[in-house]
Amino acid sequence: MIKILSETTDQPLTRRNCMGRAIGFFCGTSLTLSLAQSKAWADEQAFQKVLREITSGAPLVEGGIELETPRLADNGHSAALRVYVPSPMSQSNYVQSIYLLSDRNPRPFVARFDFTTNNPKAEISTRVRLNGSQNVYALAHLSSGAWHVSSVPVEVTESACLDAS
Amino acid sequence: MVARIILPPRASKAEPFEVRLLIQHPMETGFRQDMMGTLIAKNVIHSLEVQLDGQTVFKSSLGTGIAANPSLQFWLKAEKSGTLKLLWTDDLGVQGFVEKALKLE
Repeated sequence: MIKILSETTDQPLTRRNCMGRAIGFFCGTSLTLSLAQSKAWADEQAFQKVLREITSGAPLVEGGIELETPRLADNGHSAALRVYVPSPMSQSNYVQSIYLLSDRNPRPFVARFDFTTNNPKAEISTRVRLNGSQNVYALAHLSSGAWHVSSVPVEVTESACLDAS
Repeated sequence: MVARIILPPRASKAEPFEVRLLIQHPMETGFRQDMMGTLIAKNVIHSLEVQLDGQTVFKSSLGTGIAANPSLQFWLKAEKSGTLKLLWTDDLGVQGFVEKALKLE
C-alpha cells in the first residue's frame, strides 16, 4: 500500500484528513474575508458620516478639482499632496474652503483650509498620512454654495498608524 | 526652529507669491504606543491662522491625517509690505506664533 505523506505534517493524506483540511481552509478564508468586509463597511460608514457632517447633505458635483498625489506612495507616514481648484478668486465668485478626506484612515478628516480675498489662487500643497492604499478626496465649497468633489487612488507600500512604535 | 514662514526671495506688490509654512510638531494620532505600551494621547494642531498686519489672510484646521511636522504651501497677494504672523493651537492647548517681515518691491 502506498502512503502519501503531506509536507507539513506527518499525517497520511487520507480522505478524512483531506476533507478536514479543506473545510478548515474554507472556514478560515471566509471568516477572514467577512472580517475584512465588515472593517471596510465600518470605514465606509465613518467616511460617509464625516462627509454628511461637512456638506450637511448638499449635492456633490464630481470634478472641478485638481488633486495631485504620487500614484504610489512608498511611505504612508508622509505623502506629498497638491490640491488646486481652478476657480476665479474674485469678491463675488471664490472658493470658500477646501476639505481633504480619506476613506480608510481611522479618522477620515484630514484637513480643512479656509481662503480669504488675499489668496489669489485656491491651491494648497501639504503632506498627508495614509493608513494603507485608499482614495483621497478633496471637497471644495464655492461661494455660490456648490460643493465639488474629486478623488484619487493612492497605493501605499508602508502604512501609517498600524505599527505600535 | 519651532516654526518657519518661508517666502520667495523676491515678491512684488499685487502679484501672487507662494508662502510655505513649516511647524515642528509630532502631530500625535493617539494610536501610537510608548516604550511601556501605553497609548500616547492625541495631540495635533487643530487650528492655524496666518495674519498680515493683524488681518487674517489664511486659516486652516488640521487633523490626524496630516503628517508630523506639518508643511503647508498656499498663495498670497498683498498690496503693501507688512508683517506675516503664523499662529497655531494644539490639542494640549499649547499656542505658538512666529513672525516674518514681508518686503514687497
